[in-house]
Amino acid sequence: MYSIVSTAIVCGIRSILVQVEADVCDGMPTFEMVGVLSSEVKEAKERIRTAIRNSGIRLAPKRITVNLYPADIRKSGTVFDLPIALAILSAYGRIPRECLDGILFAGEISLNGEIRPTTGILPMVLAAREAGKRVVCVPRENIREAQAVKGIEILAGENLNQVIRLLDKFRKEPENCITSVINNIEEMRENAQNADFDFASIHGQKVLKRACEIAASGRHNMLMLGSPGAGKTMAARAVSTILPPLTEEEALELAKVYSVMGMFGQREMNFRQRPYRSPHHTISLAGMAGGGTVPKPGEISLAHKGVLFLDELTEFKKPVLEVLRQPLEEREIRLVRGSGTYFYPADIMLIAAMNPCSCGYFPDRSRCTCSKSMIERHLSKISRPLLDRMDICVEVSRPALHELTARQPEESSAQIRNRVEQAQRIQQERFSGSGILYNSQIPPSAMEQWCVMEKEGAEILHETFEKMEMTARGYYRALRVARTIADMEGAPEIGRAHICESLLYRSLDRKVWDWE
Amino acid sequence: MTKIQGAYNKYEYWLASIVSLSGRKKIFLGEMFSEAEEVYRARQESLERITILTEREIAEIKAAQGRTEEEIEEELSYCAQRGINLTVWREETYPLRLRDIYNPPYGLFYCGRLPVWEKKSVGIVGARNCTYYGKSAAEQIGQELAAAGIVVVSGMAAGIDGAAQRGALRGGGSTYGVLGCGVDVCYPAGNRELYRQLIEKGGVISEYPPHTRPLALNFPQRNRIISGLSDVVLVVEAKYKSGSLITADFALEQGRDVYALPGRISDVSSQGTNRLIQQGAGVFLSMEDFLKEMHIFSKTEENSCRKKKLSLENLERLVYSCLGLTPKSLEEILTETELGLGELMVALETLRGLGIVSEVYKNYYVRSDGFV
Repeated sequence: MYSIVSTAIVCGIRSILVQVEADVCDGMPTFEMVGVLSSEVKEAKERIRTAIRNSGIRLAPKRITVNLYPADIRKSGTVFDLPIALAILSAYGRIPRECLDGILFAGEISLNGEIRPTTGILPMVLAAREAGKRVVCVPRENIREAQAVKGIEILAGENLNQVIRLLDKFRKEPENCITSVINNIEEMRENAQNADFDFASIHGQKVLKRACEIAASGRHNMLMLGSPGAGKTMAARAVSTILPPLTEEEALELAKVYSVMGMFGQREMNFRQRPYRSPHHTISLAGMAGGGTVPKPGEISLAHKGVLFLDELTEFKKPVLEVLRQPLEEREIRLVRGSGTYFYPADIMLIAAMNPCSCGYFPDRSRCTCSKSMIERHLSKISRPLLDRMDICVEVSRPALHELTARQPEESSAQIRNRVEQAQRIQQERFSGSGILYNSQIPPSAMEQWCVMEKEGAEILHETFEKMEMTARGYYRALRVARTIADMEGAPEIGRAHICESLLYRSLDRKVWDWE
Repeated sequence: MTKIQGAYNKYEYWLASIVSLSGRKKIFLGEMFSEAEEVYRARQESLERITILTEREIAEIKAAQGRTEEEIEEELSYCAQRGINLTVWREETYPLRLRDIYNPPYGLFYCGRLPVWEKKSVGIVGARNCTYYGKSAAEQIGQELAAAGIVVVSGMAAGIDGAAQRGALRGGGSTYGVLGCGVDVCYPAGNRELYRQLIEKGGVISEYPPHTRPLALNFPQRNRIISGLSDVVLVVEAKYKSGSLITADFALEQGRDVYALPGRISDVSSQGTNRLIQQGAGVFLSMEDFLKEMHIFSKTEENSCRKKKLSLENLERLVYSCLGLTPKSLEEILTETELGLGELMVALETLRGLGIVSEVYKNYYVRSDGFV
């Protein structure tokens, strides 16, 4: 007898529906599986045979053929165990075929018939909804992940027998079978910001805080330069708390990345919060950009729509830093493999921190013993193209003791976030319909249209341009940052004070410093 | 053989190129044998008769004798091509000031020119890792000395040395760099532009033959030539243990005056100079005093009094008065002046536009108008 069951495979962070066909007929008792399978899918043969037997189901020795299609995609992963088992049982006539119609199955099976959790459930459920399926059947541990998708019903079983019973019951009385919502998912989503970190806990550091606010408002990438213990890491952590919460759509896209990595649990409790990732500097190229023979997203995608913080920027391996250049421009990362091209979202706000020299104390010559060439070598570890993508560069000095001990109330993240939201609203109104969301994305061709300067502002910028031998890139960067500063005040035109302040955040420019 | 400037012959070039023999002994040999050629051809026995030579030195000379005449001529043509000259002890071009020091070099390789006896000369030395204070002082002193017609001698090193010489070039004077490597080697490489200008406006000088690499052991010895070529040595910044103090020691040994630029007692980079002052070195307080003590009455006296009459706005005056010669971070300025970031930046940009404030490092500011 023949049967067919739907399942899905994850490709990048998208999911593609896969059909499992099973045929059981008389003949030599064999078990054949075809359809471009990777080794873990081939191994499913042994798992399924044993799991079915251990679930107390005796199958007559017959010739079993299983095919997974479309045949042009390589099937890997362990989600196929459950659908294959069900297809075989249905082909033997143990499960009526109508029970399996319109349901998407995914799950790994252990030898005793238990259904184990798997990765990538969220994109699969989304694909199922798109394909018009009304019900999905997932492992019990993955229920919450499946619940993140609205408009689809969920069946979940702990073991094979339970699933079979559930399917039978569902056919007869569907309303009583749907797994009840464990926690109120809506409530979980509203819990947008958890207050484990707040700007109020950073004392003093006015320049740094201001720079963070500007960076968050215009979504500018930021580089912090300062001696050890100055508070760079704290500030970066805090920036993610002043970004406005994710929209439903953004949150879902991000959750897909985490689902593929099997890390959905991390998004669950703060679904709408911007992610903050701070990989250690020993990270590999694949860890940063994503990769592997079966590609997985990297840190840059895990920080999608949020903050990617690179502490000790100079210590990162050069290729790891250079790989950031393309996603910073295109806001997604493309991995080309023999098996196909994979796209991962990578729309990040990059925040980096580094010491001013290898000992960390320059320009305090009483403590710093680095020679000029050592400092230059230290700074040259960061390539010019990467520096060019840093709109804001700010120095962070160690706070004075009286600032740390003065218990003046500092502004909280929520207060700052309100202003950031306001500034971003202005930007979105201005850019509506142009495909641009933030000032940091203004292309040079649109500068004149969107960055209108007052006469005085233009004068000082042009003067500085000549005197400092600024590059065209530097000029546009200053203008973009000035636009954000003006937006924060609600000023329609960029004034002198805005330009002057934006010059303060000028990029690391060795030529300008008068140290030698 | 391509003849290059100077009256020396290839044997003298050969003798000057023996690095392992001190200048004093080379001069002695040259006089003993009356001709450098005789030294080149000297046998083991005749060298052994000279009591001041150690066995090792004799072996070194014998080894140097292994160089064929063709090899030496080849080097001479390389020198001619690169514009490298040589002056040796017996020649008139040999700097007079070096004749009376303890261990004068036998020969000096140089590109450009040699300092002349008639002009007063000041050696300015100091730390490579200097502060902005030291650097700007060196630059300004160099510039004003040059403007007063005084020759500046230094080591073309990073930091103070380079700054003083850049200043001197800006002041339109002549300045000479004494190197610890061959004169065809630019060390540090970052000073390439300075090296080029020195050859054009003054000279680079070295006791070591062309191609010599900048070995650490060469530098203390080169310092004796810096002080030897100077009438006065000024130490701008030096840590407690510093090569500049070696120069000061040589200067005292050679009977030159030593001056030091005072610094704050808490500054590591001024510990050496402050100590020199304690030991009796002259204190550099102002250009005027310094020139007076050197018996030079500056023609540019009115220029050295260069505090410009500037009319600053209140805000700018406030920011300016908060700054000093030690770099101050923006955060500190912000706290001290209690201004808003926008206001402060406008003031700083204005002051920078006037050229009296500069940014020495990311968001660190100093006064950059004259102070000496």
